[in-house]
Amino acid sequence: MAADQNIATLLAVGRRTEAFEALLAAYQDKVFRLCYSMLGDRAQAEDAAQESFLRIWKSMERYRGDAALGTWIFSVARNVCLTAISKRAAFRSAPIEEAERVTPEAPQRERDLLYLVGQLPENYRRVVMLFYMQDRSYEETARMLDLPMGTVKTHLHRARQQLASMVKEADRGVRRV
Amino acid sequence: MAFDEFDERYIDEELTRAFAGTSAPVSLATSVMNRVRMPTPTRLPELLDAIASMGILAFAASIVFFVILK
Repeated sequence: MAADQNIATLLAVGRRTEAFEALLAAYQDKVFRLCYSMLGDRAQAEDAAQESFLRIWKSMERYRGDAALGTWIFSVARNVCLTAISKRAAFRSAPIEEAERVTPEAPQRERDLLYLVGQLPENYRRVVMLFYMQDRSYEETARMLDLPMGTVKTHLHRARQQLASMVKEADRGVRRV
Repeated sequence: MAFDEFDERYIDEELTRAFAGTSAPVSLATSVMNRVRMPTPTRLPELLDAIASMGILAFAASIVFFVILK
């Protein structure tokens, strides 16, 4: 990745602030998406992304290029999110609140779908959200979640199947009423 | 819920619509840079406190030594 090369060069010549600014520009969307997919809430995702970048800033000088820059950044963000998850009790209800609170103007169908995504098992939900936020890239989703690409594909397939049956079920309920 | 089709392809399209283009809030980079540029808190007050405490202790010790013990 050209941006990574540029960041590494800036770091090597001691231009830490410039390197960090370039890193922030290149990774802010990706880190935010990773946090959003793990936490299921935009506000919490923003806090976690901020915390991740601050940790990256503090430990930047110790980065020696042993792992790819992206891998290192995503592992920092994942750890921050895992800490945030362990701190909160009502994790499962967050995506539901999100669908209702943040996107009141979203079409009903989309809100229903977001609600159903929130009902998926956690490992499926993360993969689904990240894959679709990441412009449907298997490779990037796998890299960000540190999962094999085959696992991402399997999770996605099963999640879509579950969602389809949940939609059918919900629709049957509506028709009955 | 008004879904007309329930197959996987349809779900795929709906998910694409729901999540595509999700990006970081515009305030994220600014907030991060503001926090990065925040000056590191100085340890000078603690250092001055320690020096003052040592001075008081030395003074008390010298009083004890020269006035009481001698």
